[in-house]
Amino acid sequence: MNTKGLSLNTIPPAMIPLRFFLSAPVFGILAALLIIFYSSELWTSRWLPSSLALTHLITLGFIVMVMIGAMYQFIPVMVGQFIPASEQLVPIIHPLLIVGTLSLTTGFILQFTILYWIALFSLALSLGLFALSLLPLLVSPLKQHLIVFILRILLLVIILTIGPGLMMLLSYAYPDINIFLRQYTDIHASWGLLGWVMLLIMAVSSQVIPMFFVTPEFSEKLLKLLSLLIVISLMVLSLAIYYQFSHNIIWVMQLFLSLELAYAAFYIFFLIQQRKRKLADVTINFFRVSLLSLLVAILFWWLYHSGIIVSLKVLQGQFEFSLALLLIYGLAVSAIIGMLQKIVPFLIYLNLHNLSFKHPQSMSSEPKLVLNMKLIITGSQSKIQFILHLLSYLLLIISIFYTPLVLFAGVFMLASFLWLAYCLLKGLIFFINTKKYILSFPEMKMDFGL
Amino acid sequence: MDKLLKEACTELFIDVSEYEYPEPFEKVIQLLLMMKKGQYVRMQHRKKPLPLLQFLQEHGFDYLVSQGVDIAWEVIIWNKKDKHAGLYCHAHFSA
Repeated sequence: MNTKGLSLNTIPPAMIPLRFFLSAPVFGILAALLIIFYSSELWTSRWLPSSLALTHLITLGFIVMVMIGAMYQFIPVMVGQFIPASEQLVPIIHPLLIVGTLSLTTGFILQFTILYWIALFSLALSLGLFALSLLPLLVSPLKQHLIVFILRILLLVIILTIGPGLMMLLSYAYPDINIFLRQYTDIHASWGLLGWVMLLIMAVSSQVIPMFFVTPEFSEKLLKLLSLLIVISLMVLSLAIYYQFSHNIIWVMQLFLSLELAYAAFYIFFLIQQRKRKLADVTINFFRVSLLSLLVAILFWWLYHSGIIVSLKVLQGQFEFSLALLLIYGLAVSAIIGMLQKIVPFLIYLNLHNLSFKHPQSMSSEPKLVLNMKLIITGSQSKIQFILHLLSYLLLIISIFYTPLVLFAGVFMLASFLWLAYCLLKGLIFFINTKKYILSFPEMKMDFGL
Repeated sequence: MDKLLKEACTELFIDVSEYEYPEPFEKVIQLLLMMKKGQYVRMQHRKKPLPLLQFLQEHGFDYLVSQGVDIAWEVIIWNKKDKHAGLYCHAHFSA
């Protein structure tokens, strides 16, 4: 990409992504409270209103919330341009996503039709506006850029994830519409988790991991190829299931998809092991847990479906919940919490640094206003976060098979999201106070000699 | 102009390929603060440093960016007011 003559916008106003990052842990806290309140009843069936509420608090409230914020932060750093109209659209997209998620989850629990209508309207508008706002970037001269390539595929994936989701929501809101809920749910979940989450994790990891952990660069060609293969496999698989193709075709497609996902996981693992400066950094472990979860999920899936262990067949419910936990809490939430430990301090740091150059006298004040980035979320804070996250994750998995542990799992999950909220809030307070102080110095051109 | 081109400029070289973010940014800014007339910075990096390029645009610097095989990215930076350094860098580093 040639940047000469092009005015670069690489540092989004901090509050654009930060509002998404700060709201996300609140939904994690609500999800943990739901687990504590409903306890082992949650693991009875994935169709229970409380289980559906729990799933969507995490997927929409935490995962989608952070991922949209991350897009607002990363696209400018990666391509040098803001997502168009972000200042105007984010104040609409963000509150609608909150309202939509809350009305959907309370709708599941209270079964009030009006809540489904509110959710349908809010989520369709919020996610639709976000998808539409990406369109100008996708037809811009930046089209060869990796992230733009992946975003184009993601747009299709978003439609295939949200489409069936909104259709099901419409059938809840307007019961005269009859659809095959199970088929729609399977398509919605597999496109959401294996398509949307996996592609976004690959796109964001390809930037975050080399930037912050000094690994070799990801191969753009390989990432583009893998993204395409994953989407094609998912597409063929969805059609094969929908039109009830022969079992052998479905089996082959599942094998292809598993190999592609496993290859992606091993490839990222391999790059992490190639770190050039092996400094102790606990945040890399979040990515290790995330990739390991994907590999275990694939193994678990084949172990269950191959019938090698016949007794597993009687554990249909436990199998479905374990798989969901491995992919949602293990793969997605682990990577997202790890990513937040790095990108939030980076965002705050870049904004304050940029501001201090416009108010240069602030740079000579003692103690230094813009601290080392690693002091915004410290190593020991990340370590506590990792321990809490890992404990809650392990307890959640075990509690599926030994339900008396559900309460403990919920408590540790609550502690993990509370800690995350505390660390992010502390970062925000530091940002607000320092910004106020920098602005108290006069604005002037920085003197670079000559 | 020929005379100007023959007068060599002094290079301030920095390789930040193995630094974690935001160290590459900080190290280059330190060099820019030290840079005098007749000097330019040659920086090597594993990524194209877009936030740095934005900073350079906003603070009166000019730059040339090139992508190589052995060195992922190389950025040549000089002060826009330093015409001599500008001519020298264009003559020696423009592709």
